[in-house]
Amino acid sequence: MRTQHTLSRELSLFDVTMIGVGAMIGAGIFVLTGEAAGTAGPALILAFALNGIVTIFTAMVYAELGSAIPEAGGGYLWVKEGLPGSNAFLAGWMSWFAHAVAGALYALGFGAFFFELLRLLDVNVGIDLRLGQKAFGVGIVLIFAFINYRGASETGLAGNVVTVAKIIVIAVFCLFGLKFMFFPDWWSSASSLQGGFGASRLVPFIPGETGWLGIFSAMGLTFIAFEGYEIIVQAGEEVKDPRRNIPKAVFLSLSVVVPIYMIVAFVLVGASDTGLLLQSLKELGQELPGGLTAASENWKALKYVGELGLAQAASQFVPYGAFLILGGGVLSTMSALNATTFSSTRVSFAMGRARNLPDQFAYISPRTRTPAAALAWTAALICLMVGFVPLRTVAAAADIMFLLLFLQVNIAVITIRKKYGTKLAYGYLTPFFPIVPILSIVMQLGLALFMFHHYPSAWFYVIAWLTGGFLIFRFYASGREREKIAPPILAQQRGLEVRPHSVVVAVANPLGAGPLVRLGSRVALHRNGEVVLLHAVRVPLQLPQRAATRFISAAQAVLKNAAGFAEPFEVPISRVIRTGPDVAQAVVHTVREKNSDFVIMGWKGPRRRRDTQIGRNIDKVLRESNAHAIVMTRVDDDDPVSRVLVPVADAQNAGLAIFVAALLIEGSPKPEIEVLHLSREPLEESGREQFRRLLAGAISEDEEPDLQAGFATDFFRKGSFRLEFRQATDVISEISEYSSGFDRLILGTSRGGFFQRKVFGRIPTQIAERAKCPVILIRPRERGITFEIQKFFQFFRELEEE
Amino acid sequence: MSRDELKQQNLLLPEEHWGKIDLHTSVNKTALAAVLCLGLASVALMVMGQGRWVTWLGALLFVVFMILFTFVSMTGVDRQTRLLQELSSQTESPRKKRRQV
Repeated sequence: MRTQHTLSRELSLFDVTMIGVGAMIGAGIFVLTGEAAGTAGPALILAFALNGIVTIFTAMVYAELGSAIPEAGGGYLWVKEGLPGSNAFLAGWMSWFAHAVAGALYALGFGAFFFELLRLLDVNVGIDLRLGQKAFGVGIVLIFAFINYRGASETGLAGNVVTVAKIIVIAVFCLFGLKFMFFPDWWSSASSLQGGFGASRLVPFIPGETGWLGIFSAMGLTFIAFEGYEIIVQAGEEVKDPRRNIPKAVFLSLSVVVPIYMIVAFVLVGASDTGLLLQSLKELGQELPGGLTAASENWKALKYVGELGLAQAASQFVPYGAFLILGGGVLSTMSALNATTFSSTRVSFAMGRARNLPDQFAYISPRTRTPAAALAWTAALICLMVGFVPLRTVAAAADIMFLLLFLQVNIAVITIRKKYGTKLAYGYLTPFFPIVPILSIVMQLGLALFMFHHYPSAWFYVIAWLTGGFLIFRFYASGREREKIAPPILAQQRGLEVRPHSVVVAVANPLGAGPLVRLGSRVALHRNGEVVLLHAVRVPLQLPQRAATRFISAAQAVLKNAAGFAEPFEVPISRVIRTGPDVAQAVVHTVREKNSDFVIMGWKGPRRRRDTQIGRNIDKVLRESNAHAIVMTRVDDDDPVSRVLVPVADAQNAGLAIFVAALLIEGSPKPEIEVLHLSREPLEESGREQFRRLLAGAISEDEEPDLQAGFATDFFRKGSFRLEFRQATDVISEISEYSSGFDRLILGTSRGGFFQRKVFGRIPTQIAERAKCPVILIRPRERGITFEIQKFFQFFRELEEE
Repeated sequence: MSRDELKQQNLLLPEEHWGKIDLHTSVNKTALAAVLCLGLASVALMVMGQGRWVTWLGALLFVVFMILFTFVSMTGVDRQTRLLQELSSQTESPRKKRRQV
């Protein structure tokens, strides 16, 4: 098998911390600091500190989940565990894209620094800056793709060397900068500069022109640099002693990075000179911004120098400063690219493993034990972005996607705790729970919304990417994901004819199969459909699934017997035998795979259990499959049914109940359907007339025309239809007593809202307990979107320790 | 990832350990609250200082806050993993004894 290989645990605490640090002090310092300084002024230091605070709240959550579920995929995987529906796919989709964008940004940064370095060394490569930047960018992506392919230890080693080297470069820059600020005459060539601590460059700290808006903008602009912990947890499957090392690496990397950012900002704004910055702009051949003079604040000039701002500043007060910073920039962007390639690959690998992306994404090279195919695709995506995408705008979109991903993870940590309780082995538990994740959600939501104010076009990219992702999920990934978790089919025999509709009849044992199969066959006959007979073999978790094979012959006998009941109706019959620990899942998946309109199940009858409405398995099928559901209490008697009682509260939604009642009495010599309407107050004649009219409409013009409830109008004409109006205060007792003398009692839920359904849900089971005849419960199918919304909220309502 | 998958990958505790470690954090909450207050105070100082020495005192305190926060959190990690180790050794020792007998 291609996916049997596992990733190897080779990364130590130091390695994984360096992966985080490498990612966080990549573009943030060398590429974005100049521009961010231009946005916030000296308060850039404060913006970094505030980003640090926003980050540590989510970092605590990442430390908790990273220690408990240390698997490749990180945030994507936890959202999959903790949030319903398409959330996980979108989390992975955003994470893959955002990391790839970050990688492309670093690759282009590398290209710019490397090209400039060659220019300073008088090496002529014969191409212009823009083309050179892209060519070198693609080249470095391919080199790091190869390093990543070689294995986690090589990736870690390469990352460590580069990260340590760039920390040294930054330390040199800061030391010289501080020296210059405190002892301005120390370096002779800088003697002409205005140095000294407390110089006007850092006052006012929050300039009036930028204010808090500038600080928030700088936070948004540089937030991409603080997502290193997402990269740390992506390595979860390759870290030694992950329960201890992952949370520690998350905290250590932050404690290294945030102070470094603050010191660099302090030095950059505190030591660089406006006049020299403007001069370097001129040398670079850029237009000088209007209104800026050598007397202007330096941070205003830094904005225009952009990614070369740090290098230009360094050239003012560090010997060979431009070389040093360009070299540092080359190293930084390399290690950041290494880290983002690593994490982007892991998230696409995890998505492939969960069948959210094509299977080849889950391929692990047997030689290097790295996800080779996911790596190749990711490298291709990054190269494509380097070559063709306007990255500055898309980078802001990646920022928002990281914020949205973290937001989802903060919700997931709450639901995962509720779901698994003390069953997970946590290496770290978030203190002040759930205040920390809630605060984090509020802060991230605020920052993401603020980005709309400042970068509206970025939000359009986000919406476009998410819409694309949602469509892929809906029409590709969700089906594959379901296939993966579907209980395996042990044996299958398809019907001779393919029909547009199908009715799944779940047959547990030969006793009581007759009425279920006969009703299913009648439904199929009227709807030009086929009958799918399903038998599920339950194999406990402790046993291997192959243990089910010994039950195949018994299961086949059950289905053969059941098929005998359907033969007189001459409808196509399929037989399916599935296995798994969960019988309900077997029914749910069969209904989904066959796209069935009806599912029919037997019911042992009401049992007093607080946690269920009808029964554990039936409840689950009703919740998770969107088909008209018919649940019949077991009857040994196979005589034709003649008298059916249908209590109806809402005439407009009575179509399905009448349809089932009409099918039951078909062929009876003396058929009779009695519709019972109960009301607390006596119903006036006008009210009765209105009810009759609505009921007739529901039968002949059902909301779903293909339901063919209209055939029941024949019974109207033949006079087999009775309508009874009664006044009652206790509905349960009245229906139970009235059912005496009938062959079947049909009870249904209305197509009401979610809360109405919940309240109504218990009444049929209470009536069933006291009814004087066998009961049939029916639940009409919902419209697709309503069903999805209900399922979404149901997920949260049912969260409890499994 | 289902519960079965978590179990297969040894991410769930053995069933006999369920409920034995509660969900209370091992991080010293008083110390952490104090450290977080220090962090907020340092930010307030940075803002109030308006570029004067108070701002830089705030920045310095923020760096101290980051270091203390990391220290307190990592101590919590050590405490929590020690708890897990103790729990697994409690279960292992009777088994080992039985094997030795």
